[in-house]
Parts: sequence; structure tokens; C-alpha cells
Amino acid sequence: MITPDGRSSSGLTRRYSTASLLNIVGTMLVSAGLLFAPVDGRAQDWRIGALFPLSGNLSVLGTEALAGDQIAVDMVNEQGGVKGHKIILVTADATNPAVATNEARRLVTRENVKLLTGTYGSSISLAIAAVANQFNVPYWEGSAVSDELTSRGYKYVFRMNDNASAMSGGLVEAVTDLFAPKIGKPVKDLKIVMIHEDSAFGTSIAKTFEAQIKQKGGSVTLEPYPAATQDLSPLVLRIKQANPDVLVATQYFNDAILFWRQARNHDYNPRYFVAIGAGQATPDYYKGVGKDGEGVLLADVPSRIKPEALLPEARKMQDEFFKRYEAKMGKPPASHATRHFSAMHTLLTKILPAAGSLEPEAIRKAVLALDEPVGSTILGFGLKFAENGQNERAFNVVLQWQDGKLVSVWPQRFAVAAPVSVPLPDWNKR
Amino acid sequence: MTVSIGVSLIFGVMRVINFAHGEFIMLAMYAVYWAHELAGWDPYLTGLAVVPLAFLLCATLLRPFILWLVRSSVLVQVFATLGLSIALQNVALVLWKGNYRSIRTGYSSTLIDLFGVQVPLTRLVAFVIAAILVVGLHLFLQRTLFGKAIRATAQNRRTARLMGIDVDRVDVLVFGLGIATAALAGVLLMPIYSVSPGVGFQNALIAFVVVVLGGLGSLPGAVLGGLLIGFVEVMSGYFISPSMKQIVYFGVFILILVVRPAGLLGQRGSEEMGLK
Amino acid sequence: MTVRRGELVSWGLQAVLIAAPLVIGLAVNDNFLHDSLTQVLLFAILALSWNILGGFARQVSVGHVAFFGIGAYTSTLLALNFGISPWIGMFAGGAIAAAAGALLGVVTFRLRGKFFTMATLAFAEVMRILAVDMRGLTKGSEGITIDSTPNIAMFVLGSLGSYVIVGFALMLALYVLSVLLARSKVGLKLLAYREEEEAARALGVRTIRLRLLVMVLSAFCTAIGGTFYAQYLLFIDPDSVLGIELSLQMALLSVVGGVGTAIGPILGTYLVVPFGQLLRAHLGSELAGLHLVVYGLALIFVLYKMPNGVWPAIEAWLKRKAAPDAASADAQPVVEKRA
Repeated sequence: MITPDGRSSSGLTRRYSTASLLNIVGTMLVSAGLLFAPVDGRAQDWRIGALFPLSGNLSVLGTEALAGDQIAVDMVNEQGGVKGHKIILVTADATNPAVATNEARRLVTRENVKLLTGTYGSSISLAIAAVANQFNVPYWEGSAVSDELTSRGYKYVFRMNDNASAMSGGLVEAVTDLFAPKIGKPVKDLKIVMIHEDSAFGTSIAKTFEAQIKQKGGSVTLEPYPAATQDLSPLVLRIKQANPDVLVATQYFNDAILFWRQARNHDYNPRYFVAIGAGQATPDYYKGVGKDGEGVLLADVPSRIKPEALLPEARKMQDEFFKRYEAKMGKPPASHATRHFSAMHTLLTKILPAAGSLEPEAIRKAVLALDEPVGSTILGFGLKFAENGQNERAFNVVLQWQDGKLVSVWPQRFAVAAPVSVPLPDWNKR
Repeated sequence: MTVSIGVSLIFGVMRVINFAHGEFIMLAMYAVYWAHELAGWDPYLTGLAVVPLAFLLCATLLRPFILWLVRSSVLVQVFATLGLSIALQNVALVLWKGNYRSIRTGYSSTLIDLFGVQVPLTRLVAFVIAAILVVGLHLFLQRTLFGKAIRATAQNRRTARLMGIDVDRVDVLVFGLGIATAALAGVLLMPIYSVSPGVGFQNALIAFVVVVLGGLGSLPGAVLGGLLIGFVEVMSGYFISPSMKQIVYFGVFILILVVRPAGLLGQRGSEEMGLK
Repeated sequence: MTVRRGELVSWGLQAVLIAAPLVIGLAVNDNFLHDSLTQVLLFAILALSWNILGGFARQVSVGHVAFFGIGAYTSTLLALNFGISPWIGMFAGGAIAAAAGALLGVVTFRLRGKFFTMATLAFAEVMRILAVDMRGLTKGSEGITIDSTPNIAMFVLGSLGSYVIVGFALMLALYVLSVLLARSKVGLKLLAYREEEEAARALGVRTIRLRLLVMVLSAFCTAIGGTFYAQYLLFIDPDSVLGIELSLQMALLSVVGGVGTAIGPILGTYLVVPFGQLLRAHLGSELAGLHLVVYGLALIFVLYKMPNGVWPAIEAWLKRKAAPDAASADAQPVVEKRA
């Protein structure tokens, strides 16, 4: 048959496409069978689910976080597992809430997973928590920030890391302890502007910061912006015009670099600047802004803190983790990777042994019974969980880029160096 | 702006929506990145290699794909290029992971004083090269025989063929030019921004807006559109708020589509030729 | 096989396809399965809604997610702020989406083909940004959580199986709607319109009104899907209900299955959605992103082999089986090609 554009198609082509169709369908049916068949696994192995966004925008962060988990599991298995039980980490890619829900359900019903852990991204963690709650499976969160996670009344959802309030707490501390004295004004007279990316991450931290600074008598103007913007000049110019005393930021990686570069281009010199350690906390940030990054302050977990502030066991673990992570990923760990390592390690070494099984009630009891002082985990967190599952002894400290390295500078008990360059000098003087 | 040129070419002349256009930019950016990281090559010099390479790639390997694409219905075009876009984005993800990467060269922070305004050198270079490109292409389309052949094909394929123009060759070469321009855009953008597998989409989106705004098939239109959008973006970002600026330029976009769908400098009625 | 028989087989096949999720869902009582089925049904609903505009009228919209989001947010906000049951809120959402659709239709009435598509893209993005910005109303990026205590009156169904049933009902309704539409006078007008607009207009078809009607209908149905999603996932935020990926997915499903047919979107959904899930399950944790590479390539491949969609290819095959001689002349459905 001759088609209008002059090519001829024979019946062979059509039979071929039908055959390929049948092929496709056939393969799908077989894989479906494989997909839906339940997995058994040995009884002595404990299967723990790990859901992270491994593809899509959050893929880098998800993969790094998962690496943290993986190292913890490896380390524990090398020591014989948990009470003789080998830990098997069953991973799944959870790129958005719908996918996360589906994958979580799959892990619980098909992969024989009794405990879920994760993730990166608040909306994803909320979705997983909902499924966990439905199946009465414990969910152990390592880095998601939104306060919402622990306010839904889920009985078996626990979060070991710093939530939005803890993070903004770090920012507030920088403002009240480091900036206000130098500026010479009381907090209530400070003109504070906060720029934040407008997804759940930035927004939740902005909210808690606003509330916390209000408690201290101060106030803040919020300037949200979409993280994926290619050009932040308008924002820079606006801030320059407003000329605040203090500039606070919650940014992701790309926009953090972009903002800093464009601030330089437009000759805007923020003197008192502190950011949440998401965008500014990775080695790639320093690579991206170079010397301009010197002196930048951030609020984050004390990833490398004063050795004396950590209990000796924690110190050893920290070194071990850093070594292994570098070997595995080729670079020092970013803070979320460390958060997840710490969370998983704590789960495997402090909670599961006490619980004796993966039963939700046993785990809950073990979690609530924990009482460890600040400095006992490698991030410096203590362990004391509230009824709603949040670890109250998770906090942020203030870090600073000094000579291309990120060191903690405040509070003094955790500091490895003293803060320098407060206020920040002009661009050419760095 | 360079991005829009490429899009305008492909889109305007061939009436193909190429969702994967952004991905080619992304690939070019990665090429520049790796050349810089591994071999220390200067990004612009790398461009001298990458751009012709992109063109050749289209003329040879991608040829059958391009020809098939042009002959297909709108729906197929949209979704086939979408599929390509997904595949390319994720190939980049698999190979290079999702980290944002940027390069710093000796001149990354250099500012040139232009009539009292500080302009970053990298942006100036991008602008100048883009301007040269626009002028060059314009002359090419208007003056040379091949350029005329391209315009003829854009206007009416059947007649063009009847007049003896090898439509297939035109298609492939135009597409090649478009992709080469995308590669050039990538080269120019790398010193300014960072790259990650997902940057393609953002860029392409803005480019489409600019192109429609300026008028399909009209290069001066693309320039005008680019400038206008840039202006609108900055103004609204400054006066209103950065998050609203996108709404503003989308709003402008829709407004133009309603009032003068052919774009500012496009031919009237070209929007009507959508499906033909 | 006679031609008559061929038709019966076709209908039979369609019936099987439609009934499948319900039957499987009722037969096997497994949470993951029900979850997967619900997601498949949800997408089928969206694909069918999109098809009304994109398939029957050939107006390719990549902004349909705007209507989806409007539906989700409307019913959720009404329930949250005023305690109105989402069963009712669903229709309110549909109405608002329909209004938005009408607005979009009016604004774009002169646009054809690609221009229309671009406009829909812009429209959807504007909606998403508005949802993020209007924090007072929509709670912005943090999203809204819906109370998960089972409460049928408030459309929070306890068991996943119930969602499968509701989803099935909606899908069936949309399918019937599509079939009736195709056979009605409006359907005929649409057929004329999409084949050759000028001619249709010459014959007296009020094309503008027609487009508007179809747009409104499509928007309404999509919004209903939005409410269903909200009540199923119990969490909405701008990225998940107003993201462009969803727009593209909706359209993709119909295109793969067979644009312009009633069963096409359903078939497309069955093929693509589980395929994506399978890829993710098997390849997703290995090399991140690999499953999507396969997905993208598979998409290109399918479009290459069956540019009209899978269902028309099946029908063509059936017709050939039915009447091998008469079929060869018109077995290949008219593919939209350009010279």
C-alpha cells in the first residue's frame, strides 16, 4: 500500500508491530508475576526498607543520604548484625509522594519489610509516614525537616534529626549571639530579611524562623523565590535596595551559588549573613564560589565538631564513617548523608537491640526510653524523644567556611575555631 | 537568547516542537564541563569542537530520526521528543549523577565596565557571540541560496519540493543547525551557570516563550522577544517579587498569543498554519 | 471471521479491558495490588478526560494538570475550611475547573496546533506558581494534609479496595461518556472539525462553540480526577498536583493507547503505568535514572511502530483478520502526515 508521502508499507510491517506488541505484553505479564510474587528471605535476616528519591531533581541528595544508611548497615553487619540478625537494606526509589506511597506499600506487602526508613524531602516523608501508619510499621526518619511529620499523631513515626524548628534555631542563635552584639543593636531593632527557596523545605524553615525571632522580640521580612530560577538579579537588587542589617537564607545548592555570584556582580555586600546548611554546606559550593565563600556562616549539624565535645565512642565512629564515605563516594559526606548514617546507626545499635525485635510497640518503648546526653552521637545530638516521636536533643550549630574548610564556630562548646570575618568584608578583600 | 535562536530555527522553520532541545544544551554543557575538568580546556575553545560535532551528529546518526519526526503528526512529535528528553536527561543522571557542577575559570568573576555599568565578562561574551550568530544567520537566510531554500520549505513544503528543493536535506540541515546552536548556547552558558541533568528543561521553556513572543521564523523577532522577556523578568522580579516574575512573563506570553499570535515580528497568519 | 465478528471481538476486548481492574481488585485482597490498581485507574480517568479535548478535538493540551490541581485544591480547601464533603466539593472543583477551561478556551480561541499547546503550558505553570505563592489560601509549598480517619461521608475510604471500586466507577462513567460523545451529533461535528476545520466551518459547524464545549467538559472531568487523587493520597502540594510531568503523562497515555478512541486512553494507561512501575521496581534502585532511560526509549519505540496508538493498531489487525481482501485497501488507519 502506498501511503501519501510516497513510501510503501507492506503487511510485513504490520505483522511485525503486532508481534512486538504481543512481545511487550508478554514480558510485562511475566515481570508482573515476578513483581507481585512475595519475597521470603531467611528468617534470621531483618529486612529494613530505605526509601529515597534516587532519580529526578533530588537524586543527588537522595543517593548521598542512602549511602550514609548503607555504610551504617555495613558497619553493623560486620560486627555480626543486630543480636545475630543480619540487616538487609531494601532500597526503593521514591521520587514524589505518589511514587513513595506505592513503593512503601510494595516494600511492606511484597518485600517483607518490617521497618521503614528514609528519606529526603518533606512531602515524600509525609507520604511514607502515612503508609507506615496504615500498616502499623515503624518509620524512622533521618533528615526530613517539616514539623508536620511529628504532629499528625502517628504512633510509630520517629525522627532523630533536626526538624525545621531546630534548624531555624541555629539561625536565630547566629543572629542573637554573633550578629546583634557586633551590630550594636538589640534584636528588636534589627532589620532582618530572609530569602528562602519556596518549596516545602525553605517555607517550613521560614515559618519557624519567623516564629522564633518573634519570640526574641524581633521581626523578619520574607523574600521567597523559586529555587530553579536562572537569574536572581532582581532578588539581589531588591535586597540591596532594602539594605537589611542581617540577611538570613535558606537555599539549595544551585541558587546559593547563583545568588552569591550575582551579589558580587551587582556589588552587593551582605555584612551579616547566615544560611541554612543545605546549599552552602557542600564542598561543591566552595568550588563554585571560590574565595567568595570565605567567611560564609551557616547553621547546620556540627558535622565536624570539636572532638572533645563528642564522647570517645562517637568520635571513633565519626572518623570511621568519614573514611568509608570518602572511599565509597569520593568526597567528604554532606550533612544529610551524615544525618542518615547517624540515624541508621543509632537505630541499629541503640534501639533495635533494646527492642529485641521489629515489633512496633517494642520499638516505640525502646525509643522513648532512650536518654543520652548531647555529644553521644556523631553529630553531637543527644537522644531524648518526645511523645510525638521527635528527638528533642537534635540541634544546629553555627559553622563557617574558613580556608576552604567548613568548621564549627559557635557555640563555643562545639567550636573548633573562632568565628572570623564578622562582618564580612567587601568582595575584593576576601 | 542564544537558546531561543536555536529553538526559533527549529520550531519556526520546521514547525517541530522539540522537547529535547533543552537536553542538547545540557549535554553540551556537560561536554564543556568535562573538557575543563579533565583536560583543563578553556570552555570557549571546547566550543569550537563541540558545536560542529553537534551538527555532524545530526547530519549523520540522527538523520533517520529527524526525517521520521518531521513527517509525523504533532502528537507524535511532541511525545517522541519528550521521550528523547526523558531518556537523555536520565542518561546524564546515570553517567554523571545529579550534582550541580560549575566551573571557575580565571575570568569567571571579571567585570567589564561598560558605560558605567558593571557587566560580567562571561555574559558579555555570550551576548556578543549570540549577536554575531543572529546577524550571521539572518544574512544566511536572506542572502544565500540555501537560506532561501530553507525559507521556501518553511512556507510550503510541497511547492518547495516541486521547485526541486531537496526537502529532506533541508530538514536535516536545519535541525542540525538548530542543535548546533543549542550546543553553542551550552558552551556560552557553562561559565555563567551550573549544570545538572535537569537544567535543559528550564532553559527550553524560556526559549519557547521567547520564540513565540518574537514570532516564529523571524530571527529579529527572537532577539526582540529575548530582550523583552529579559526586561520584563528583571523589572517584575525587582518591583513585585521574584516568584511572581514567572507569572508575569507567562501572562505576557498568553497576552501576546491572544492579541497577536504570530508574535511581534512574525508573519500574520502563521499561527494558523499550525497543523498544516 | 466476518466483519461483524471482528467488531464483536473488538467490543469484547474492550469490555475485558475495562472490567479487568475491578475483577482483579475484588478477587485478590492485597494492599499493594489495590494501591497499584487505584493509581492505574486514576491515570485512566485523567487520560480519558484529556482525550475528550486532545483526542476528539485534536487540541493538544499540555496544561491539563491545571484542572487537576484546581479540582484537588477546591475540594480539599472546601472540606478543610467549611467542612463540605468532598463528594460535593468534587463537583464544585469541577465547576471551577470548567470555568477556568472556558476562560482558557476564550483566550486561545484563535490559536491552533502548537500555539495552543504552548498556551496551555503557560496556563498550567501560572496555576502552579499561584498555588505556591498564595500561601494564605493554599498553604503554599508545604501542602495540605487530609485527615486519614476513615469517614465515608467525607470521602475518606477506609480500605484501598473501596478506592478501586470508586475509581472503577469513575473510569467507567468517563468511558461511557466518551463513547456517547463520539456517537452523538457533537461527536460527528468534532470528527469533521478535527479532520478539516475549514470544511467543517463551511458546513455550518460552530467551531468556536464546539471547542469551548469540549474544553469545558474535559476540564470538568479532569478536576474530578483531582479530587479523587486528593482523597486517595490524602496529601496535596503544588508539585504533586500542578507539576508539568503530570500534564505530559496524561496526554502521553492517550497518545500511546490511541487518541480519539474511547478505549485508547484506558489501554494506554494499562500499558504505560504498570510498565513504569515495573521499571522502577526492578531498575530503580540500581543505577538511579536507568529506568527512565528505558522508559523514554520505549516511548520513542512505541510511537515509531504505532504512530496512531496501540488500539488502532489492534483494530487494524482485527479488521485484517476479519476480511483479508477488503481490508488491505483501508486497513492502515489514516495517519496524520505532512507532505
